[in-house]
Amino acid sequence: MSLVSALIWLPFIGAIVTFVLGKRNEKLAFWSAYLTSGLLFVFALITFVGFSEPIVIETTWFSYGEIVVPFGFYIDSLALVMLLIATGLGFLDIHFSHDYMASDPHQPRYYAKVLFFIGGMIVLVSAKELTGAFVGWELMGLASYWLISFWHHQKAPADAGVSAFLFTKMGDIFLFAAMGLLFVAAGSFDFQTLNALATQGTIHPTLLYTVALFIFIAAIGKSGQFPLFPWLMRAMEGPTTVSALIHGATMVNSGIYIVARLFDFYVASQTLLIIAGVGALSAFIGASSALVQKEMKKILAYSTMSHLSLAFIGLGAGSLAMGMAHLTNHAIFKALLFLSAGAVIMSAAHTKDIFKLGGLERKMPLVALFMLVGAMSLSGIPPFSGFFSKDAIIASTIANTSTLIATFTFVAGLLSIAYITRLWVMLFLGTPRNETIYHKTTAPSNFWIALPLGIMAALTLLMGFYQEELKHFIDAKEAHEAHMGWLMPLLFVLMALLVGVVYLFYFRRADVRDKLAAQPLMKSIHQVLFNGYYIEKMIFWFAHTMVVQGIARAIFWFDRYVVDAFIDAVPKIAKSITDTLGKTHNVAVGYQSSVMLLGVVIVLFVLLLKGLV
Amino acid sequence: MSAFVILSLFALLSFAIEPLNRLKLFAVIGLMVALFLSYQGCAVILSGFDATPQVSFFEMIVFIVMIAVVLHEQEGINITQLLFIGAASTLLLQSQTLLSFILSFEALSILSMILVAFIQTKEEADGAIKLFIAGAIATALIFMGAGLYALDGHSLLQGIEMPHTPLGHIGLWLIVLALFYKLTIVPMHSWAIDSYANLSPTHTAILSAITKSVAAIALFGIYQDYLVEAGIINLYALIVFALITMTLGNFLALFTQRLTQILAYSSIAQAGYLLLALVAAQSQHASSGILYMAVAYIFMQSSLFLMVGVLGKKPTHLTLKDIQGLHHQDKLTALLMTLQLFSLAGIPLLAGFLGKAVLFYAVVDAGFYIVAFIALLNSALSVGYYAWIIKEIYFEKQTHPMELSITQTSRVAQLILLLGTLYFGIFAYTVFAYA
Repeated sequence: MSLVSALIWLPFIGAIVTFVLGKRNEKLAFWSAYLTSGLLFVFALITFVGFSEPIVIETTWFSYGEIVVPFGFYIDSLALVMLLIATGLGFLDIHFSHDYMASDPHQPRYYAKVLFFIGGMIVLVSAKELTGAFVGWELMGLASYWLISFWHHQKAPADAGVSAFLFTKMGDIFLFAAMGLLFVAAGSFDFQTLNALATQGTIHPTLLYTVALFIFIAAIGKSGQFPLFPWLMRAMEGPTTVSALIHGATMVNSGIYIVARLFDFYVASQTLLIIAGVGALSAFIGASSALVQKEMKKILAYSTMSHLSLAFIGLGAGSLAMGMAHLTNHAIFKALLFLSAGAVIMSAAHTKDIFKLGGLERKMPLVALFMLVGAMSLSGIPPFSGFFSKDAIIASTIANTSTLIATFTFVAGLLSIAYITRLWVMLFLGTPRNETIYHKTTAPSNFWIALPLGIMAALTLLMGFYQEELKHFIDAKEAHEAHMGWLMPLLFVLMALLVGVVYLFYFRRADVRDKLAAQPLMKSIHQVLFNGYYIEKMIFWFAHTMVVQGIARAIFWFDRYVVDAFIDAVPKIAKSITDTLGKTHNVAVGYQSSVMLLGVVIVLFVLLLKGLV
Repeated sequence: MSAFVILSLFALLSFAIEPLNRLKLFAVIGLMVALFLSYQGCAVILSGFDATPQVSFFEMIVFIVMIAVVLHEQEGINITQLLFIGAASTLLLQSQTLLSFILSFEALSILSMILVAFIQTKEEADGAIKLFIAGAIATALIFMGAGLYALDGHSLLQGIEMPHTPLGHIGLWLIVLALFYKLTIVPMHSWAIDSYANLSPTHTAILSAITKSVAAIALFGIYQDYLVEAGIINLYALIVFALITMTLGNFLALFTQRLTQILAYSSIAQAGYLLLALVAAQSQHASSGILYMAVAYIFMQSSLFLMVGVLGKKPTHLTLKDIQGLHHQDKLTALLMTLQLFSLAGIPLLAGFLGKAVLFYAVVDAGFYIVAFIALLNSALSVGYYAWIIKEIYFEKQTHPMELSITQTSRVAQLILLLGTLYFGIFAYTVFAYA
């Protein structure tokens, strides 16, 4: 009980303390945040060690009449996994920030917001009811806006923050609508009750379907799936440590988490195939767009989209444990990749364009090694953690879903190795493409930068050997697992082939690549992929022509000619009512007393007439 | 020992204390002791009086507001009168029988008249006379009503029973109509339009905020059972009164320029809301509704009238033009006024919002959806003139500076009242626990 409340309150109290202390002394901000996040991780760890059955805390937020809004906490193995990810990676992230944010003049603000962000995630994953989860969900939405637009004095980050806010808000509306529907139909916000009700079939199927779909739309927004993903790429404008936090430890996981939390509900609602379908499409869009990006963070952002989709597909294919296992593995190796990228950016004079870097392996061998571990896990090479969960998901799509979904998933999974190899090769191998940047590059600190990377790399490797335990911990009743059979060797052959192609094009024969890229057809394909299939442009076009030009204009007309006309009439009407009513008042005392008595007489007369008495 | 005894004692002793120039401190101590006794739930040791938790809670609120008024007040005689009114309020709130109710009400009524008898200007004389005459009529009505009710064969030494004949019903209704005078419900409201606008703002704060809400709570306490049993027609009559009162008050306030007059109309409109609690008498939420509304109302209304009192040499003459740009002259007063006006308008996180919300919920719960809807429209209408005042304060240029007479203690008083508005706007369970 006390440990859970400490977990809930500490980040917010810590955020305030960090800010206040930081205002007195810049250095204190880091140490305060460091201590707070460290404590959070220790608390989560203690909860994990002592965990035997779900911790339940029931509290009421407010109640009036028959309306009771609960705000309870429920920590089971699923929530615990998320807590460990959020607090553990959050701690490493803050450790990493010590050097990464060292020259920033607004450190108190930064650390306070990061703690607030982690706090939002903790509230979300520990919530017993949808109401509490919604509060955490929105706290995190706010914090992500703050952090993405952390450098808000520049235009791009400020816009990116707004973009993230609007895209996720689009989904949030549906979550809120789903809550309303559930309250009317099921009378409960409790996750476990909802799961049970759905399984028993107490909730009307159509309603069940609608609610499941609404919540999934919210999850799409938060987890950056098709079509609400463009904010994920724009969010790269924030500090890289924030990207690692959003893409690894917290925010994007929340969409998947909420679907996983309501997994039985989703199974009963018959929407799993939709989830798998949207996931497969997003996985393909993400993986193929990642192939051609120039900025290393954008590559990783598209990769996040693609891999979260894999987790969604895992859920959609009917396996809670598989989806969550991939989410866990992804959280760790993606945080590793992002922070490695952050280390490179920081050391290489804030260069993000991979075409300006190269040969950095000589400058920072440790970072190169750790990033390679992350890359191999992402590609699905045994014995790293990514291999187990990713291949299991591909196998189960083949067994449980349609061929189309399975194909998309297979291709998306396959492409991972291509874009990540491209990234790694461009960064670390070959000769430097820009001598000035190369000479400016200095090796980062071992303790503050390389150590957290090393820990995450070790975890990535270690998790590979504990996959069965992880799945079992998340969902004890996990049954039969599909196997790829003959596809496995094929996958490996294709992967090897892709590595070869990438190696050839980006290392040995860049001239061939450039010639190919100059071809008109290749150029246009490149443009489509580079711009993320123009989804953002389409959304803006839609928003502009349909909403701004169409609906807004109609509303404007209505406002100008109907509402305004009405509003203009209101004062006149009100004035005439006032004047009429004003006539009932007279300052003469005699008149006033007469009114009183007249009132009494009328009242009694009417009451008598109505036969009251 | 009850708050009544203590306050009467302190009021009497205050004549001796006044020459020593320590009257404020003395009165605050007296009110603190009264506050503590109410907290202990002490009742008046006379037959016919009892202190329920709800009553004790409201007494505490009244005493807190009175402390603020004392801190605000410069005139010694007003402080003495205030202590007497506090004693009478205790009596009225705790009365359980019809006789004790009538007598306490008369005590409060007479004390109000004595309070306003401290006349300094011609306008105050006008206000005082109107209050006196209306009060006299009410007294006549209340005793006539009590007489008819007794003729019907009931004892006045107990709570209200169901009358046997029309005579008893008429008697009870006459008493309600007499109470309407204190509550300023149409048709017993006309005196208040002039009195509230012309009397010294301190007097108005006491009359319109304290005695009105005390009377409302007491009326609800003694009449609730009768209204539930006596049939729907009673409720319909009350609905008509409530809706006419709030509509009249809001519409008249809409185009008024004089500040005290706007607040007077607003006070009448708020009385209409208070009456809704009686309409919703059959709902189990009605008691928390009226308690909440009264708590919210007493803080914001007294704060605003007291604040107007320090805005110039002749506060009752102030128009909206005079307070233009107040923000530039005194930021704190402008902010305080804005917050209290927002509370009156019913903006969330302020007590006025929850008061209305809880009350309207009770009305809906009692089944009168349309009534709640009309009340809601009225509430929206009222934002029109409240927001207008705020607009004048913040968005207009100051043409000539005002002669503010703000002291340190009056600041403290305003902060106490603001704390009340904020606290009860957020921590709703405090009130629910007592209702």
